[in-house]
Amino acid sequence: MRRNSKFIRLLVTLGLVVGIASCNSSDKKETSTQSAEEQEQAQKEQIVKDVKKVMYSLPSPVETTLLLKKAGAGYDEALLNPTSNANKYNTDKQKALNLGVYGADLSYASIFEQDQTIMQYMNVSKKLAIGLDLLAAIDQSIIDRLEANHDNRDSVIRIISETFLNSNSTLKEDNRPEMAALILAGGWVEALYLATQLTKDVKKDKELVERIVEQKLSFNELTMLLGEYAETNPDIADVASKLEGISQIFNEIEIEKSGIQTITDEESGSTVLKATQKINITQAQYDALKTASANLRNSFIQ
Amino acid sequence: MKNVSKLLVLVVSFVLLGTLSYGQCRTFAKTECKPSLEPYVHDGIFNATELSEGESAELYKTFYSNQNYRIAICGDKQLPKIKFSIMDADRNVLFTNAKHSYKRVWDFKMESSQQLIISIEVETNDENISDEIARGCVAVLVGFSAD
Repeated sequence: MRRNSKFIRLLVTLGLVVGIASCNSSDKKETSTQSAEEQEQAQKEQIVKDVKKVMYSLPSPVETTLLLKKAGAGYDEALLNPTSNANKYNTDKQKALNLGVYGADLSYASIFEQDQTIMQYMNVSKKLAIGLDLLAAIDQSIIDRLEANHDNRDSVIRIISETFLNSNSTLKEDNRPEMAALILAGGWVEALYLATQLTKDVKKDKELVERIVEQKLSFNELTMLLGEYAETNPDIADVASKLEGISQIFNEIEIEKSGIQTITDEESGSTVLKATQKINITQAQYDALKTASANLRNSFIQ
Repeated sequence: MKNVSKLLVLVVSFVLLGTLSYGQCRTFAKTECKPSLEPYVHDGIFNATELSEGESAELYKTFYSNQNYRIAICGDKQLPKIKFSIMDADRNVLFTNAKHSYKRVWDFKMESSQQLIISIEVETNDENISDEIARGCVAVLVGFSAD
């Protein structure tokens, strides 16, 4: 009896260890001691070091395309990755990247209420999801709900967000976080591609250009996310290396920011984070970003 | 032979327990946490992990200007209170629920786009007299206004 109880305890302990390991892809490594002059920085680094797990969350393509519409972007169906291309995607890497690409196209079509396109892109997403053994992510009930609610933009957006959650949670549950990262990378690159293709002039399209340059912030999260797996996964390493071109351009574009002041409405409980920003970008820098994002995206969909 | 069988059971259990714990985390996030985001639209990203008392995690995310957001933090019932703080990129604390009765959701709007750090920490349970350390799933979900 005592031996059995010991055995069970051992199993539970090992299970916990696996649980921690599966959730803990980004446990912090030891860092070297900082000099006295950098004490404050060292304290902050120590806090980060003590944190058990670090997660990076990219913006949803639905959110990004919604922001683009608010900033004045239009709809151009010709920019989408044709659904006929899906037949070309044979490897898991191609399927995952393009599931992200189609997800962004689907989001873009949903924000602009393009009913027929939404159904086409949901169906092609389902095909790629099945190819990645993500049967539950986009099942027939989701297609049926989409058909039944096609004229309700809010419902359509919620259903699409649900498919994103299903995909990335299932992949993490199946211990395939690299695939989830590739899907997110595909979606992020497609959203940047759509945005840059819809915007030409840094002076005339000021608000849209600002939205695009702000992707520099989430680009940082994308590179950190891919960096978690780049050493062990050649597909991720390849995608991460292809982001270099965009990284160099973003590094040249300046975003000046003020400190943040918080103002809370005690009655509603809602808070406004007040801050200002100034973006410095030249037409040449913007054109370079537009070209780099098109080249990268086209390398994904070919 | 007996030892081989034991080892096999051990390895299978080892893998199963790990998978189950993550699976439970996923179900927890979807059923217990996502409804807290209403009426905001969930961004579709699954951010959840298992934590024990005293452990912490951080989520890095960019939030965009003139957009309304809700952050919802949820922890398994067996866990003590969960403290969450929102920090800017320089780790200046902008909000902490410890000063607001450990509330689980926070609504906010940004005037300029920023990368924020959402820090979550499972407090230690001082009232618990047993030696067992509570452990469970903690989910951090983000919703945005689709208006």
